[in-house]
Amino acid sequence: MEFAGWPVNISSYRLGTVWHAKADNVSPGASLARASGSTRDEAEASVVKRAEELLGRTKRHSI
Amino acid sequence: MSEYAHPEALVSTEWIAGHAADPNVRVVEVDVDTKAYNEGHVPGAIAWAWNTQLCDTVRRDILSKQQFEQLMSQSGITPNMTLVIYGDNNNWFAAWALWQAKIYGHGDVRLMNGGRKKWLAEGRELSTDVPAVKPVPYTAKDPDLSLRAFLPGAAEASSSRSSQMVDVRSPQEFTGEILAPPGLPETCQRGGHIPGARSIPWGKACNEDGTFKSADDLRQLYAAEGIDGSKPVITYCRIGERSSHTWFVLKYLLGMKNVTNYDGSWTEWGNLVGANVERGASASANG
Repeated sequence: MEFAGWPVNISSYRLGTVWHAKADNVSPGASLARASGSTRDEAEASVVKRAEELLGRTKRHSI
Repeated sequence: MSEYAHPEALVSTEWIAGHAADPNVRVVEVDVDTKAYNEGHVPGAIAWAWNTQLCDTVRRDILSKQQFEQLMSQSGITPNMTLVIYGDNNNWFAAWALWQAKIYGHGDVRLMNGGRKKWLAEGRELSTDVPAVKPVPYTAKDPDLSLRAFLPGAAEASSSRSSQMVDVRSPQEFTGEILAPPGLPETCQRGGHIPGARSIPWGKACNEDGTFKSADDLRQLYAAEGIDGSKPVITYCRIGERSSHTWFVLKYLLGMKNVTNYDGSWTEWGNLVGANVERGASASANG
């Protein structure tokens, strides 16, 4: 999966009745965004939206 | 396969599950996301917030000795108790907390290998109860500053190559392509890395399940970049927590004698007027 030119991993898990989703990218294992919902789809849709917002705002500098 | 230099610095999730009711063990969760604890945590664990309880909230610094004593006291931790710390992001801020506990001389402090991620993945019991804690007296030792690097030491290491510097941020932060991990504020004026630093991202020390790689794999990882403990080592990242993770690996898993964590890290160096900065990938380990 890729947002704004960044590779992104989405993972999700359930605790009780709540689904939690996480997104990470440049630092695997470190969460870029987190979200929760009553279903996996809902949690993942929320985390995708949040990750897209954050990555869209991340400036790349010339090196 | 060789053992870790200090295997006692780690406990497994199984060990924690078996010591849930041990009155001599206090388990503390320290997360990047300070709301994660409330979702569910290791039964009996308390939480510390890295941004309010593990730093001085007025001046930029780690806890003072008095603040550390107060934290331990209010957490019901005596100097003789076993303190086990775990957290999200494969123990980023758990390692930061352990580093401070070592600075103030707590005798028995360990990380739960795999952190919160492994506990959840194994489907272990979770609690949303916050345990009631009775404050106890706690006297800390004077700070052991041999575990901490400050700006003058980092500058000296960079200019004279007297110590080896390990930049544990992502490759994109190291080269200067980005100033902070996506989603975090750009709290520096310049991107790049401290001249002479080697790029070994913190996450390379971890397996997929969040546990630390084997001693042999870790030794190979760092040796490939010339980091073998023959010279003092300084670790740094952006604000000092990811570099605590690598500091722990080098000092306690590989047993390197002289390893310091430069917690000023890139948010200090990358804002200094006149500081030298390198951009792009670094030269070879022998260069």
